[in-house]
Amino acid sequence: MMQDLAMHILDLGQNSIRANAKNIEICLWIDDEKDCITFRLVDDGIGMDEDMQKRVLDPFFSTRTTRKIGLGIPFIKELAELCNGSFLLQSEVGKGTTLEITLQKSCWDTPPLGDVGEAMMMLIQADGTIEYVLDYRHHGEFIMKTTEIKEILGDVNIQEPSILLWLKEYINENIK
Amino acid sequence: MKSLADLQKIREQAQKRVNMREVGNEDYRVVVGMGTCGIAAGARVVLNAFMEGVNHDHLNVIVTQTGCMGSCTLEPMVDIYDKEGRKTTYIKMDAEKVAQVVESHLKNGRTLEMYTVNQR
Repeated sequence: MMQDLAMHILDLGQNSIRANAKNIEICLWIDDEKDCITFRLVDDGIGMDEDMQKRVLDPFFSTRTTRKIGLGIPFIKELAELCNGSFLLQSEVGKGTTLEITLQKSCWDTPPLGDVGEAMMMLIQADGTIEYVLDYRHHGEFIMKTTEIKEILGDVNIQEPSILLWLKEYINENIK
Repeated sequence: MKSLADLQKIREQAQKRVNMREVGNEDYRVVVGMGTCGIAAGARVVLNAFMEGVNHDHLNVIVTQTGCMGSCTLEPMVDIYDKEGRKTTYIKMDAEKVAQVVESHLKNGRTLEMYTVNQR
């Protein structure tokens, strides 16, 4: 099982990478008053037809050939149901996929956020050509865009270990 | 608190290091399995430990990721390729074992047989 939300972000982000996304946006909004955590992932990958959208909810389905089961989406769906939340999967072939879940913040089973900076670092490390946006809101707002980071970096690769490790700290310090 | 203004400094340091290194001619390529199974088994810690080890000692090593490696019960798994393309597969890794692999395999070229898939 995934111990925290950051692990889900990393896992589901990998799906978008495999779907040849060029842009991946991750929203993490925490609303104390509404007692609600919203997690949304939007990609512009190859998308899924209706049949596929149903099948990915089945733990015994996977597009991979190395194994026959795929647990990423069933895991997050189960989590949303367990935590008095909601689960929404929208997708269109050729356009991309949006996945949105909400969780009741104070629910016993709602996992901690985990290391969001690390999850983002690892997604960038997995594919540095993709443009990522992290939109984090809790009291204040923090937005990280890899397009901005790359502009500053110029000819230095965003996947340099020292850059990635700095990004992780940068994100984590700013979302505290 | 870190801000984008600090990134310029980090960039300059990184650039110096890149200039010293031969890109495309790394000593080793480390591939960490980051499928659902790998992540659930602790591959994040493993990938992080490799990146920190390589960064700390400025090793001429490239760290990459792949999906499920096909033996989910042996995760976290790591393949290390040398310049000739020879592969060593380490299984059931954790941060402690990674530190040893960095020291022995990546720095001194000695495979840590006890952690490889051959020892199963």
